[in-house]
Amino acid sequence: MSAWTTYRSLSAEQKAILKEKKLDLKRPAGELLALLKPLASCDAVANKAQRKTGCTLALMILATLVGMVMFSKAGWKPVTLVVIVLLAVATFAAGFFYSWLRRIDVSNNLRAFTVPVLTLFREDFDPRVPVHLRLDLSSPTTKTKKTDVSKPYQHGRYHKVIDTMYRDPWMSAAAVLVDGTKLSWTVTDRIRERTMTKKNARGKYKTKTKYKKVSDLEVQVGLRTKSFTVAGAELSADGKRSKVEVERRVRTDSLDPIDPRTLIDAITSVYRTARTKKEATA
Amino acid sequence: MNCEAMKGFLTLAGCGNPASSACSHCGRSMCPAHLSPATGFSMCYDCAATQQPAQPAQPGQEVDYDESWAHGYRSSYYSSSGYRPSRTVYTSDDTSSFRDRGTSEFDEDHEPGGFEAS
Repeated sequence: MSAWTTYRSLSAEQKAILKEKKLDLKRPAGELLALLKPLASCDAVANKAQRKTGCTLALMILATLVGMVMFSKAGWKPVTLVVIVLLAVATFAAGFFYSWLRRIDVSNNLRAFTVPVLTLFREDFDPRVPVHLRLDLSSPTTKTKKTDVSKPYQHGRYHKVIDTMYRDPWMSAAAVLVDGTKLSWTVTDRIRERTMTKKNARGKYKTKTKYKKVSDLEVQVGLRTKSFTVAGAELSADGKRSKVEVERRVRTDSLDPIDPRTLIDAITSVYRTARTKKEATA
Repeated sequence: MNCEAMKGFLTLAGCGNPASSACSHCGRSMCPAHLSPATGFSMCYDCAATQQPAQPAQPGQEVDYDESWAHGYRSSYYSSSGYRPSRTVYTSDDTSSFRDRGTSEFDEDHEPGGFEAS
């Protein structure tokens, strides 16, 4: 299915999310998945189309330029003029489609992290209580997320290095589980974008950009004291829950989404330390 | 006979819906929702996952995060991590005697914890 067809099949709310790239919803897990899964599919199709269109666009620009040079040498004729005009129109159309695909592009965190996590926990969430989900699906390196820019400095062969730091708190969620447990988590990415410029032996300037990402996951689990015993856990103010906080940190060399297993491991680590009342009394 | 499938990931609970047929592999009674379409609705999701375990997604690979994937992931996660979920939740059979009396008096606060906007 083409990106345009997939986009057309989305509801007005889903199109609005693609446009805003943010959502803050309180809904049952099933409804959230029904809303987000088509968005994730659309994003996957759009990403593929974007790669293809990008290559096509580059080739068309090249073909137009080469055509203009060749025809100017051979002499302009009505046929050559038509060919050049057609190429220019096709290039413009490809450019427009490419820019539209970029506009509807959302972070891969949606389809590689959010959707799998919600799918796995869908039956753990209490169906009577909505899940509170906040997502920021805009690019992690947008201007609004920039926190610091270093002064240019020299490093080895590179005569100019600039480090730009970003902070992207892109996910937070809170829910009540079927066993009465209150679960909430946040995911915040901190990104260092390093732009390095060097002059090669032929005197050309070459610039490359590298990324390092640190993802911080903070998980809060409130297990019902009626059902679970957690050694050393702090009690909530009303004494009904044992509160456990877990933190995980993942370092990567790219902007790719982290493995959802990090979050799953953090939550199950709390359940591993908890003993059910049945076990405790046995 | 009720469905013998277990729901959930962190904790397990019985499905409890009326069963329609038995899994051809393990023989447990299953409701239509817990029979895998990939096996022509002859096996339960757990057995189907054992036959074809879920592989971790490779970079760039698109995965359909559906019911089959979730059961496959659960099965491979339990075996690889050693996580043994507790069965703290009662099945519908256990709670059937409470159904007609209403459950509001047993309810606790249900506000999600964490980052409630002030």
